[in-house]
Amino acid sequence: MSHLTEGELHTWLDGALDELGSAEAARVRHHLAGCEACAGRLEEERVIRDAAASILSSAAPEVRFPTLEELRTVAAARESRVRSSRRVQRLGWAATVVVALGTGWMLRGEWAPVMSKGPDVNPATSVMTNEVTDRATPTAAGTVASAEQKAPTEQEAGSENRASQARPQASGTEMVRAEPTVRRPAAPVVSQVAAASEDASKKSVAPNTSTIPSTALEEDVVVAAPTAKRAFPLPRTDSVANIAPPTLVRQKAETAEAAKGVAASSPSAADLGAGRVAAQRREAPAALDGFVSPDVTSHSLAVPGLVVLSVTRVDADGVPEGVRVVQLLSAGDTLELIHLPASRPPRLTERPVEGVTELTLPRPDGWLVARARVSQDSLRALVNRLQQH
Amino acid sequence: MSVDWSELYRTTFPDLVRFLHRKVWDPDRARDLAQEAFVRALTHRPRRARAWLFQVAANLARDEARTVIRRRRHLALLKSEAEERQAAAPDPARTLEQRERWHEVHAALEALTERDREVLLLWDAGQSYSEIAEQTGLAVSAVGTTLARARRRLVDAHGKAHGRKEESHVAPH
Repeated sequence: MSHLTEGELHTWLDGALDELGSAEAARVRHHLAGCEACAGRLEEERVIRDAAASILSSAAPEVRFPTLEELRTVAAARESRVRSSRRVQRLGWAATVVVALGTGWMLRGEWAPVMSKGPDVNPATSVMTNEVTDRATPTAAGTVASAEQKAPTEQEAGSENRASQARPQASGTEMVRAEPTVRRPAAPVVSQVAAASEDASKKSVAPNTSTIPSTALEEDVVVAAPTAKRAFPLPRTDSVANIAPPTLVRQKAETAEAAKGVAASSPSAADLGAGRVAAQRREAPAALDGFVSPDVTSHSLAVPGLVVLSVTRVDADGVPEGVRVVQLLSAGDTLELIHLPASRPPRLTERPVEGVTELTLPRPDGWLVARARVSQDSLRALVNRLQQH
Repeated sequence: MSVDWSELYRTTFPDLVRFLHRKVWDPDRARDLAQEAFVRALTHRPRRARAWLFQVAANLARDEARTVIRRRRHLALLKSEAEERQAAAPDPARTLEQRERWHEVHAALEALTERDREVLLLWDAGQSYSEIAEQTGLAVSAVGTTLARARRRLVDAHGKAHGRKEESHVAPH
């Protein structure tokens, strides 16, 4: 008769013997009743078990818990927000504008030959314009919104499904098998590009992805600073020119002018040839007006004249809640702009690091939280630039 | 069947915070993540809410670890201003002592393999063998063996760290 293992002794001590099955449980109990050696070992293991529990409980956190009612309030607010996620969608759309804008900067060196060809740019630009316009139709918008809502549910249902195979738990909560669910495949259009920006773990946007808007919020998205462009193995096809719709080109022109006024602005913004940009605008005038969304042109997400380092989503529950834009102020210093929808109260901002100034401002479509390692006045001046657009 | 949220909250929330705290080592953050998991449960109404909560909490803690460097660089933690106002000024000596204790436990837990640590923390947070098995992919019969090994290593590692500390206190004299 072999003695009990340490694992079986701990299972006995933990009162989990029945979870091994009735035959196994009976065997362990029977052995323990008749084996002095194992009974002695049981006491040794009991000391270890108690010591481990004592060590762990010595690190108990002391923190005030939210009440169930507070949790319910947050959940209710979130549910209503998900239902009315149109605003989020609009933010998402606007984020793609910034992505495209940043990509435009990144690619401007690569563009020069393409753009100088003139009319060649036109058909490609029209394609992009049509896509974005389609997205603005109610049907397309609904599809996008529902996809955004579905994503976290499915993802979490996946884990629930895995969890569903076990036996009922000790707390006695009623258990029902979860129906099979399908894991959503990773967003296919965001492809891996060697990351040359400071955060190599994030994903970069391949320039020839025509469906950026629908997925820009699905993954963290980084637009590399212009200084990093040479490290990118970017394909130089004509489709590269699709990236920036004409509206953005106009914004770039304004940006180049605005850059002169910003003390800490990146020199790269200033060297955008305004004349070249204007030429591009003339090439595709018809596409412009139908494309422009008043929400985007009335206030931009990024401060003109500063390099966009990254555009990432701010989310909770897998539901995109807003957009975080990080821009380069000067070497090593960044400006962070967090755009939150009106439904998310600005009290949920993140505590700024010491030495970082923070401003929280209401905006027409929600809230803006700005942070940078500059004085309050400088930060306000930077944010004002944002609001003039 | 509907979930008894009141019962679930009462029996699970403290365990959830405890579980998360041993992963993120920040009580406020652990509370925030537990809140996030619970709010998701209230929103999604999973059928096996307790197991689901721990699964989501483990995922949140994992995401937390991935983004912690990025967040440190630009941002601090999600924090309600109201809560900040409510927070009483902590006693520095007590805080220091507590931090030291945490550090010791943290270091001892680091001496365990990832799987042993996960199993131990799930058990410590009140999960049953079956729940631990389903979450970690272990057989139920292997949970006891894993726990036996994890507990022994934790006690050994903690004892060693404690011994070193005692020595260093005595040494200067």
